[in-house]
Amino acid sequence: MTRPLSRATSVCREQSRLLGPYADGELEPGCQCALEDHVAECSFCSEQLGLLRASRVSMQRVVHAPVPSALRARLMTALAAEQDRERARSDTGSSRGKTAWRALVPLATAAAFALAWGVFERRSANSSQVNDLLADLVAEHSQPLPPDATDPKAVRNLEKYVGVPVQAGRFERVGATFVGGRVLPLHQQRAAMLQYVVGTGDNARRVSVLVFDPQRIQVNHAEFAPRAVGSSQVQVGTAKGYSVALAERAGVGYALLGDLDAEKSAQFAATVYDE
Amino acid sequence: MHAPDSNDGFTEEVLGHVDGLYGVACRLTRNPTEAEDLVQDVLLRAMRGRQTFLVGTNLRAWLFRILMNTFINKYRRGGLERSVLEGPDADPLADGWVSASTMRQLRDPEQEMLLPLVEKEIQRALDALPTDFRMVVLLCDVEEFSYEEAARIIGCPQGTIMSRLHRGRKLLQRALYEHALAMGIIKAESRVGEGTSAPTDLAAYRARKRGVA
Ligand SMILES: [Zn+2]
Repeated sequence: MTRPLSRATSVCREQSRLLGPYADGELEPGCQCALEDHVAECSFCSEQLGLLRASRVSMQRVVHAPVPSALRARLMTALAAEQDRERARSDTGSSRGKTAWRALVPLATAAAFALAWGVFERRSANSSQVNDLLADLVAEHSQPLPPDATDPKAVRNLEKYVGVPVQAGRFERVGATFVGGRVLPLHQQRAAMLQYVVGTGDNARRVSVLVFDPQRIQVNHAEFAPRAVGSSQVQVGTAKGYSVALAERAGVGYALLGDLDAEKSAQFAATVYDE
Repeated sequence: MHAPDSNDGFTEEVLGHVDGLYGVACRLTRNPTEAEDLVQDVLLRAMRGRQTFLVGTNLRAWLFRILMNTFINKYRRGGLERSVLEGPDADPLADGWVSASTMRQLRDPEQEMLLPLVEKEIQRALDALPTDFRMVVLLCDVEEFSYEEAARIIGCPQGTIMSRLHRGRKLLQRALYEHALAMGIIKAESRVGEGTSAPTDLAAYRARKRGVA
């Protein structure tokens, strides 16, 4: 066996960024093996690895503290109160916006969107080409967080976090029910995410409208087809099975993601951009 | 006081993650009272939004996403820290600055733990990390989420997770090294090249610590 090196070599320096991913089991198998060979021979890197692992165990011990019993009691009370509120709301029949989202099956097949946004030459994006930001938006749409605000008027307050005007009401006339809005941290910036449900029952479809400052957040996709909707230029396409429309109007950026069928999508897009 | 409905499986499942959420919330806010508010906030948001949770997906990841999101939006609305994030990558521990034998002394080889270092010091080092680094270290090291999950939870690319984790860990190691040095657990090494200057005696170390805290 080779006598371990006691100092970091140029190899160690090269590998140093990989050591963490190696310890986390996040390297490609080939890479994992190569690093394993090096670590076996290099006392510097094997100690580095030992320290990484030891730090992890110690941090887990430090952070994992059981919840104080007083807090547990407080949480139980709060949850019970919330359940009471929900029950009261449903008793009075005002469960507006309470569409069971989990029952809405996302239209994951690109085929379902072949006609989305009306008739345009569909240049479907290869999902690997979808840029990071767009991929994140799709992820937010496909598995949304609960909204911060459910009152359409309160959504205007999001402006101070987003830097551009945010309005919720204008889509109601195409049969969209406003579910809520929230601030979405996005690559060191913030956007407003407005959630809607279009249609009811089995035909209910979710739509997310992202509102952002286009100076700070650039969402684009080379493969998306430009299309005129009213007086606006809109980029339309699909990403991971969802229909997407991108536009800028009066200094405000919009990204619309939906589970909609073709006709509804077109209506919705027209409402957003043709106001 | 009455307990939430026990026939509500969702609520019960959520309550099963409260310990993990609370521990991380404490280190995020560095304040037990705020941590309690944060956890309650997360639980209520999860309750109200449970229609948006897709059955069959990872509930724990979803709860941590609500946690990070609520923390960022509510407790950090002042603005995002960027200063430290884009600085040069100070990486003394991977640079021949500390020898293998010193690193060995920093941990207990039998138990894979940093036994010579009191837990208090680990907590302090963790608390001293810039928030963006701390969030990633908490998710990946403490909660053992994959890079992909952490990226989804925080809402940033995987590459960002990797570089923040790398640098966060380096900063932690350096803090622990300085502590061990000051406590006399390890001896100062003759350094190759200029590193960040580590205080070599306890008094200087403590003075510096007071200045930072
Ligand atoms: Zn090495």
